Formats: sequence, C-alpha cells, structure tokens
Amino acid sequence: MIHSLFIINGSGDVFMEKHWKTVVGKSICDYFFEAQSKCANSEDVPPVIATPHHYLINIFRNSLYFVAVLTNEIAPLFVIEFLHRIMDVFEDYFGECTETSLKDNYVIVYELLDEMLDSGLPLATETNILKELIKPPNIFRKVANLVTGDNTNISNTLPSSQLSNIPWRRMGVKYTNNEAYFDLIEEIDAIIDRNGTTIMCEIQGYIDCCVKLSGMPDLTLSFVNPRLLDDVSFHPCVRLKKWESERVLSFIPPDGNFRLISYHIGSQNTISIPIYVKHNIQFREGSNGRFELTVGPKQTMGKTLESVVIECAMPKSVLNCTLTPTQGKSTFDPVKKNLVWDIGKIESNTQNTTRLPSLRGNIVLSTGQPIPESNPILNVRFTLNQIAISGIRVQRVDMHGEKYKPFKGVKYITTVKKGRFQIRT
Amino acid sequence: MTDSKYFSTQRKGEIYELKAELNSDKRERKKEALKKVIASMTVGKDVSQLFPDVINCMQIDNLELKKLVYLYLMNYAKTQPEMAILAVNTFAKDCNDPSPLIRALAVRTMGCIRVEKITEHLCEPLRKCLKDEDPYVRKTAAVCVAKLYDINQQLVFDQGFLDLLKDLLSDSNPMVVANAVAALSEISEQSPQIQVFDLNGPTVNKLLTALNECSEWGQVFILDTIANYPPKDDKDAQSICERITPRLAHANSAVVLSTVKVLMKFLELIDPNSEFVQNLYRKLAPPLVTLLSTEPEIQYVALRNINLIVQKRSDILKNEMKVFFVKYNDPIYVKLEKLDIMIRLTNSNNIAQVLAELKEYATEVDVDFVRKAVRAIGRCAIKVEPAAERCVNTLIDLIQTKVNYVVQEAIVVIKDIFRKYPNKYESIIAILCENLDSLDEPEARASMIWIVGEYAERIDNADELLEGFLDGFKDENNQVQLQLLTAIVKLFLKKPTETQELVTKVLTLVTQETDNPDLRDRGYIYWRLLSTDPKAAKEVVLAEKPLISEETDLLEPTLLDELICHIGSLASVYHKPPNTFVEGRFIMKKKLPFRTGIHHEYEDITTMQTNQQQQQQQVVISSNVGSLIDDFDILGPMSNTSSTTMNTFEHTQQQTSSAIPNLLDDELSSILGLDSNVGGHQTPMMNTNTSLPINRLTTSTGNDLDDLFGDINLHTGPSSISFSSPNTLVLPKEIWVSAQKGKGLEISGTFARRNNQIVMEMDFTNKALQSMNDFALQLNRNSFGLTPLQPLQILNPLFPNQTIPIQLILNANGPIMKMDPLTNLQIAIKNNIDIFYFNCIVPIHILFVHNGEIDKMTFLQTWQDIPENNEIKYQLQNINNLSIDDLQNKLRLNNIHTITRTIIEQKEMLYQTIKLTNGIFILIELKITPGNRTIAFSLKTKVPDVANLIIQAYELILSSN
Repeated sequence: MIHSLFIINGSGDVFMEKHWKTVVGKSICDYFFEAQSKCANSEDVPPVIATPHHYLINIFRNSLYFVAVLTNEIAPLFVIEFLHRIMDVFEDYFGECTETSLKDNYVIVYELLDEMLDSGLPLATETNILKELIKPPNIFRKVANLVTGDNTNISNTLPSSQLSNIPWRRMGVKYTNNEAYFDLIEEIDAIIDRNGTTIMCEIQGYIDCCVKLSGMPDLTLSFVNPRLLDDVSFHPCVRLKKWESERVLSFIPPDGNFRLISYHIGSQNTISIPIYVKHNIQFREGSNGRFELTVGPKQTMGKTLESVVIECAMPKSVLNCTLTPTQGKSTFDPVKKNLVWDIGKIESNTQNTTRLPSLRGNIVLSTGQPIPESNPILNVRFTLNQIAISGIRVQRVDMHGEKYKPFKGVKYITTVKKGRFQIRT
Repeated sequence: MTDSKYFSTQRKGEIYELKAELNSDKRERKKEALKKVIASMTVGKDVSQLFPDVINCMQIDNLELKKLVYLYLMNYAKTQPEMAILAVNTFAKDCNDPSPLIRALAVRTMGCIRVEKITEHLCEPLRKCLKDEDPYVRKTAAVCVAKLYDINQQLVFDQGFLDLLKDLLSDSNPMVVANAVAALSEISEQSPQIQVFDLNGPTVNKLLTALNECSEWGQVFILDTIANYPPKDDKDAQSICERITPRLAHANSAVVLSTVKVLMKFLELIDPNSEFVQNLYRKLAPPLVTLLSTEPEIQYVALRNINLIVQKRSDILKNEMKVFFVKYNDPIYVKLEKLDIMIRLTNSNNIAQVLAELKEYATEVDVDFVRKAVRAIGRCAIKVEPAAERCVNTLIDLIQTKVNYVVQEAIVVIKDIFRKYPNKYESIIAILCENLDSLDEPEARASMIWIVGEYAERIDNADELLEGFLDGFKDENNQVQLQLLTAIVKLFLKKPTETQELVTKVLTLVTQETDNPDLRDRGYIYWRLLSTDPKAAKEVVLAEKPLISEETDLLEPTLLDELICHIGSLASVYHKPPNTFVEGRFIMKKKLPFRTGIHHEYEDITTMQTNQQQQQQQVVISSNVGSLIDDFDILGPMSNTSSTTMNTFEHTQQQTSSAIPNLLDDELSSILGLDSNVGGHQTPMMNTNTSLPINRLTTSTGNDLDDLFGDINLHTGPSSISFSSPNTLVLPKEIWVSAQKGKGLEISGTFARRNNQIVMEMDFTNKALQSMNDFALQLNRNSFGLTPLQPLQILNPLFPNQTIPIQLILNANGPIMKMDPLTNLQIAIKNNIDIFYFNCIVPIHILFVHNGEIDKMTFLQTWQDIPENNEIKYQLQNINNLSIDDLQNKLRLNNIHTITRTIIEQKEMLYQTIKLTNGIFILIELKITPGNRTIAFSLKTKVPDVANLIIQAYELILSSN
C-alpha cells in the first residue's frame, strides 16, 4: 500500500511529506533524485523506480513531483491514479496546485491527505464528499470565522452520501436556479507528414458537466449518432448496463462540475482536419535559410478557427529568425530556439489565398555549425467553437425524479491539446 | 492570513514557546500552537519533546483539535511508547462516542499507533466497531484489522478478527465489502501462505455484486481478488467475464487494467474460436488504446502491460498500430516502449507505414531514442522478410548521414540481417567499409570485424582492414579482441597464402601477451586446430551458422504466462516475476489456468496448483504458531527452509530449460566467438555438457534409488502379496533402505489405509553396533501432497539389533509437485549418523477415499461430460473367479464404490466410482460376461494420467486372496 508521500518542487526541495504508516526517512528521495539527474528533461523521470527496500512511484504535474513510497507489490496504476486524484482535489480546493498554494493551506492539505488515505487504502476521493468533511478555504468563510470566532474547517457531521449507493452526490442539494450545462469538448491528436498526408488522427473527447440541480435528479442524455462512441470511459455515476443495451447515458449526476464521459475516436474513422499549413523551410549557410508558412481553414463547416498558434522548435544551430507575419505576431526565443506565431482568428470564408495568414522571412544559422539535417516539427493549436469535429451531437437531455423544469445547455468545442497536433516539415 | 506562516518558525527556543502555548488556557492559542507543531512535523523537524503537552490537548472536545492531536500521535507514539499509554483512555472513550465520525476516527488512529501496549487495548473497541451499526465505522474498522495484522499477526488470529473480516464480505453496504476485500488482500499480500479468502462460487458472486456499487478503489481490489479465483469451467469463466466487461469503460485506469487482467486470465479457459472470445477481443482493444491518451505515467504502465498482452494475444491490437506512433514530445520512457510495441505489431501489411515512421524517428535529437529506432529497422528486416530490402536501403540511407551513433547502430543491426539472409545483401559491404574509422563503440567494432571476417573472400583488402584493427589490439575491448581473433582465423582459412603472417601474429599476441583467459584459451584452441587438423578447423570455424529467429526480445513463454497473471502490478512493469524483486517474501507463483478438454495432461497440474496454494499455507501457519513443526529443526537446514529450498529446487528445474540455450551461447561464444554457433554436430555436444551438472543435481537421489529398487524387486517378487487385514488391501512391507545403504539402519515399510487415514507403516531395524537416535523424517513434495500429520516420534534410542514398528499417519494436503510416476514418493530420514534419501511407490488404492460415492444421475452426467477420447479400455482377468457379489465387496473394501448394477444383453454391468484424495473422480464401467473370466473394463476421468495406475490397482485387488 502507499506508505508515504513526498512532494518535491522544481528545485529539488522536499517541501511536504506525509506518512500513513511508519515514517520513512527523507533520504529515500535520494533514489528519486539520482534517477532525475540522469534525465535530460524534468518530465523524463521514469514513473516507477525500484530501490533496495521500497518502490517509488512518481508523477510530474504543474512542475511538482508527487513521489509515493511503497513497500510491497501494488498495482502502479492504482498509485498513479491516486496521485493524480490528490492533485485534482488540491486544484479543486485551492484553485491551483503549486508549492505556494499547498504551503498556504498546509493544514487543509494534511487533513485532506489524511481523509483520502487510511493506512494506504483510499478512503474518500470524491471532492463532493471531501468538501463536506473538510471545508475548502474561501474568503467568505474566513470573514465569517472572524466574526463568529469559530475557526474550523472540519465539519462535525458525517457526510450523508458517503455510504449511500451514490457516493458522488450529497444529499439535500438546493438551488434557486436549476441548471445543467454540458460542454462537449474534442481534442484532436494528429501527425501530418511533410506532404500534408495525415499519418495519424485521433480524437479524444469529453463531456464536462456543470450540474446545479436540486434534490436527486435522474438524467438521461442521448446522442444523435451514438455508434461513433465505441471506446468510452464513464464517470462512476453512469449506469453501464443501460449504455450497453440502449446507448443512452443514464445517471444521477454529482453536484457541481464533473466529467461525465471521455471517449476516444481512433484512426479507423475518417476525420477531416479543419486546418492546413503550407510550409517551405530550407536551412542554408549563414542567413540564407528560408522560412515560409501559410495557414488556411479546410472544411470548417462555416465556423471560425480561433486562437490559432503555431510553434516550432528550431534546431540548436539556428541563431535567429527574421520573420514577418501578415497576421498576428511572431516571436523567436533565441535561447530555447522556440518560434511562436500567434495568429488569432481565421475566418472560414477566407478563400482568397493571398489573404490567408502567412509568415515569411530568413533563418540565420550560427557560423561554423553544420546545417541541420532534418526540418523542425510544427506544433499547431486552434479552437473551433460550436462544433464537435467527430460529428457527435447530443440529441436530448431528459430529467426524471424531480418536478421542477431545469435549464439545459449543450456547448461544442473542438480544440488541440498543446503538442498533440504535429506537422512534419 | 495563510498557513504558510507556520513554516517560517525556525527560531531558537521555539520549542519552549510552543510548549507554553500548548498549555495555555485559551483554546484558540492551543490550536494555533498545535498547527505550528504539525507544520514543523510536516517539514521533518523533530518536535517529539512536546509529546506530553500535546497529549494534554486530547481531552478537548473539538473535532479539528482532536484530528491534529491524532496526527501528532501517529507520528510520534512509536518514539514515546510510555507516554502514548496516557492516550489509551481517551481512545476508549472516543470509541463509544455517539458520533460515528469520532468512533471511526478513534479506531482508525489507534490502528496507526504501532505500540504494542496500545494494541492490546485496541482489540475490544475494534471488535465492537466491526459490528457497529454505522457502515462508516464498519468500513474504517475493516481497514484497521489489516493495520493490526501488520503490527501483530498473532493477535488477529487469536481474537478471531479474520473471521469477523470475512463476515463483512457479506455486508449490505458495498463500501464495507470493498474495504473488507482490500483489508483481506493486504493481509494475504503479507502472508501469502494463509488462505485468506475462501474463493468459491458464492463468495465471488457477492464480490461481483459489490463490484457494481463500490468505489473505484474498491473495484480494483475486488477485481484483483477475482483474478485469483479458479473458475469451475468455461461457462463459469465466461459468465464472470460477461459481468466484469462493462468495467472496461471505467474512467479509472487502474480499474480498467485490473479488468483486463481478469479477462486475459479467464480467456485461457474459453474456446479461442468461440464467438464470445472474438467479441471480447473487439472489446479489449479500445480501452487499452484509451489508456494511451492519458497522463504519461499511466501511458508508461499501460504500454508495459500492452507489451505483454501483444506477446500473448497479438490479435487484440493488430489493427491499432497507429496509436503507438511516437510524438516528439512524449517522455523518453514512453517513446521507447511505444517503439518496442510497434515492432511487435509489425507485419507485411503495415511495414511500409512503420518503416516511414522509424526513418522519421532516426532523425530525432534524442540519442537513445534514435539508436533504438535504428535497431528497430533492423528488427523489422528480420521479422518481415518481404520488406527486408526496403529496410536495408533505409539503413544505407541512414549510414550515409554519417551521424556517428546512427552508423554504429546500423552496422550492429546489419550484422544480424546478414545472419538472417545470408548471401543476399553483401553488396553493401563496401559502403560499410567506408565507415570503418568512425566506429568507436565496441559492439559496432565487433560487428564490423565479424562482417569482414565472415565475408573475407569478397573484400579485397580484408587483410589490410583486419591488420588495421590489430594495431591497437591491446586497447580494444574484450569483445572486440575475441571477434578479431576469430575473424583473422577465418580470413586465414579462406585465403591461407597471403595471411599466414597475420594469423601467426594474432595467435602469438593472444597466447603470449594477454591476461584474459578466455582470449588465451580461444587462441590455443585455434592454434591447436590449425596445426593438427586444418580440415577440422575449417569445419569448426567456417561451419554453417543456424539462422537467427524472427522474433527478437520475446519473453520466455512460461514467464510470459506468469506475468499475464500479474497484469497491472509492478511485476508487469519490470517484466520479472515478483519473487525476483520482492525481497524476503515467499510469493505464490501464479499460473494461467488451462482449458479443459484440450490439455488433459495439464488438467491435474492445475487442480494440484490450486490445492497447493491451500496446502502450503497450512504448513506455514503451523510454523508461525510455532509448535508442531519445531521438532523438524533437527533435520537441519533442509527442513528449516523446506519450502524455500524446494521452491528454489523447482525453480532451477524450471530454469534449466531456459538456461541451457544461454549457457550454450555463452560457452560457445567464449570459445569460438559470436559467430560460432557451429551448426549440427557440435551443438548437442555442448548441450549435454552444460546441462549435465544440473541433471546430476536433480536426479542424484533417483539414480541411487534405482539401484536400490533393483535389489528389492529381487527379494520380494509380486507373488508374495498377501493380506494383513480384512480391510483395505495392504501390501507386505518392502525393504526401502537396506542396512548397507542406511549405514546400519534398515527400513522396510508399506502403506495402508486405516480409519480412512493414510498410514505409512515402517519397521526400523538397527543392524549396526551402536545405538541410533535423533530420528526425523521428511517427505518431498509429491503428486498427491502427502505430508506427515505429525512429526516422526521415536523417543528411545534404537539399540543394536532392535526393531521398532512405526506408524505414521499422512494427510494429503501438503505441497504438490508432479512426480513421475505419479505415485512416487521421495523420503528423507535422518538419524544421528546421516541423512538417507529414498524413493517408494504409494499404491494408488491407498489414496481412494471412502466418500467417493456419487448418485446415479451425477454419474451419468459426468460420464457424458468427459470426452470420448478420455475413455480407456482394458481387459481385466478375474483370476480367482470371484462371484460378482464378492468382487463388489472386495472392491468396496478398497473404497471403490459400485453406483449401480444392471444387466444388459445378458451381461452384468457394474458402474463404479473412485475419488482420490485430491478430489479427482474416476468413473469405471465393468462388463462381466457370466462364465467368462475376462472382464471388459473401461474407465473415464478428466485426468487420464492416473488411468494406468487404477488398472494396476484393480488387478492387484482382484488377484489378492
């Protein structure tokens, strides 16, 4: 089971430790530091490290390492999932999970860690329940505490929902405005080769919900084209049997924000990519290298491409770039060799190729350095609102079990996660 | 106002201030002080001096304060056990608090305090909490049992907490069930020898019901537990699979992977061609792919497991190649794993795509990754023959980039390609030779030298090239030196006229100026070969090389099967069985179940395996209890560590098969070089040589015994069989150890079944001149798990010429190892003189149990269920011409039960059953024609191995008077 947890910041300080069983000396982290020192990048530390008496499982997120110490055989995914869950809870409580925010709230951090794990076994990991046990910090409560002189963030009552069959929802929820919002977000994950052929294109989709409904609502959400969804993972609230038989999502939602479903649409399905990039990059001696990019929309179904950004990690031998964009602005970081072109919006009706955003200019190589053999990879990011690129649409959302009429809204967003859309040049 | 201020207190005298504050009257100040104390504790400062002051705060009736104090207690109670006792009263009070939250908190904290004196006081509150009306308290208490077990195992047994915990498996609240499962799994993780779960149909059913409703973490524990359940048959396996398949869609990756583990394990039991399996394959792929779009750490663990799954059942992911394509910003550990799986999934359909990707990767910046990509291209060439040429061209392109490490890797893989496709791509040698100077890594140099030596006849300046290498001979790596020696000898054999000088030079160098014995020995061998019989030298050195296999880096199948049972665990990440890296712990070896109906010969092994798990556990329990087996210590090291030694024994046996090729490889390459897997005639010779010591080790007892047995058979022919009792047939005693072999001790013995117990009856006779004492006996693991119920007890010394009869009751639930023949039993007897090992045969009818009767319908059903080809027919002779009634009686005395008797076509039909101690049923049909002494005998059992033994038993019983 999870024996101890060490939280380590970017500069290698162990600034928080928690032991659920006996105390394990901080020196155990030396094994971690040793592994870390062998890696070029902070994210390259192997997740599982064996030491003579313990195993260390770590995750790297928000430039913090969470290192769990185990003494016996336990599923590593169990630990990794749990560590991520801890981070999720911290983010939920403090708005962000950073060294400062953890230190600012270390009492709550400790109480949370204590409540989440009991001698290595997860206890309560749903924020809904935790928030009933341990109140999150907020300004309002601080003021209230000052006035009443009461200063505690621990609740004296047992969360009623913890033991019900629906542990994710608390009892007695009441809202004056009953509303349920569903954001259907799709992230494109693609590799395009230098001829513009799609090598791989996949979609990772989510439905993130914000449900504020009183009582015990029982929701049913159905899709226009559920057959697209064959690789899904659901929030525990979804009734799996109902999905298997009728292809509808039937669930009693948690209160507040949660991810209802995440799905994956693999490369077997044909996916039309809504953007194209024309490129011409040539490295030559001195300052004669040429760099030319043109970006345009493709099959966007009348929607505007927004927040388009292209990043390019230049080879080490590049000294500088002198580039002028026709739209947006471009910057080159000569230390990190990173080129960023922030384009902004591209209207879908920009058919006239001369009006398409482009970036042109020269590349200057350091003298004496060899000419790079391969061209850099372009990383593209963009957002497309009001459309899910896979074509998935929600047909209807129904509510049973409660009498009031809620407000329901569904929003579609197609976007790209940083670094997941790559164009080889 | 944030909590970070607590971190800044690092002044001198801080402790005294805190002390004063803790003792303050104001609750607020106390709390502030406590928070500071906890903060200091958090950052690892020692605040243990404040123990009494903190304990004082415990009385206050405030939950937050209580929690803080409890936090402190958990940390420091161990260092101040005397003080910790002060807290006991408060704990006891809190355990009766009306608030379930406080009750739970108290029992939880008490469990975390690892002080023996406190633990004593924990038992009563814990027992109450396990039966608390509030499920929150019950589920907390369940975990507390596991904690207590960690501190004091004996207490858990004595207080019956284990049974209380098992009762919770049937709790109405799924969270309680999940925690009970978690606690039980943790206990069984700590003591695998204890049968913690009674995994049977009803329990699994309960778990499956709880699975739908409990928390995600509980689901992981439940699934991992179900994975250890041996399904009764394929239908059972299938129905469990159906019930857990929806879990594949769970958002928690640990749940998904545990589900995959259960499915992969149970799939073994189901007909691979059935529609069900095909459907399941389709359902398995998407969740595995989904794991790859999560956090990199999860991807890594998932990829390590996918690697196993692909090796076991490549069909599942055969269409998913693209998800394994590497992103340039993947962490390096993900990249390397993806690459490995790509190669495993490569086939002639997708090779073009894969190759294009690999070429792309070979131009990346990360050196490790690039190297691996280049190697991968080589592996593709070896695996997919039609694409070999394309791969070679790609490699040539890469060599022409002149990037140093790329060239070196390429040369290493090209060597393998030459081995796989001899005489096909030698035209590229010229290109390789151009890069000779840039090679600075030993492996690449050795590979290049091998190529030059192997194709010396086609390289005009081979002698110059090799001579060039020879100049810096002494500075070379050992691998390169060996290779160079062999290459020059090869060159000499091919072009003897021009290279005589070179070969003399190298031989002198290695035999006279080197300290490395391998190198020197190899030099001498070549020298001797060349000088005495050049023809033989040619045969050895230039022999045809065996082709290298297509799949590289495959895990050995038994290891793979074991790892499949550990999917999702650390073992699956390391690709090593748990016992190799979990130190000091006896880990039960897990095996994949076998499907019935096809693998008959394995069937009994699996049932035995499951038995074994139970049996072994009992053995160790008693040693934990510390009484029964203590006497065994007189047997010295052997008994002390019996389970471990046997384990390693079995292990070495298992490894011999895999070890031989390795040994062979090493051995050969150290004598003859990398290139000298010298084909046909040489290999078997090496083989026997290397495996010989191992054989000797494992069979030494057996060999001696064979001789012994020869003797015995001379003395006691089969004619001397007689009955000693009207009950079960008992064979007369045979001499097991002659006085000569036993250094004066003569042992004769036999087996009998008395009062439904197996009894080993022996006579010990002292034929030496001195008295003997300190007797002890041990049975090796055997097919039926026979172990002595009690240790051998001989209280008085055995005087010269004295004989004492000994009866040793055996039970059949010890550890199991399949013997050949099945009824063979290896015995070790020790006395003050020596230890003697011998074998004897347990007559199988001794193992027939009295309750082997089944009703007619079950008989009929079972008879039909067993496939036709499991039926064994035989002609029995009714030597004594017994009447049918007598025959029936006689058989019944030996626990062969007649189920029914009918007359069909004027023939008497007898249907009989036998049940063995390990639960195997044998069904027999006797067809007796009146007046004819020949009885038509036919037998059906799921375990055909025992058939011959049964026939022998019948003959023995029928021929007895």
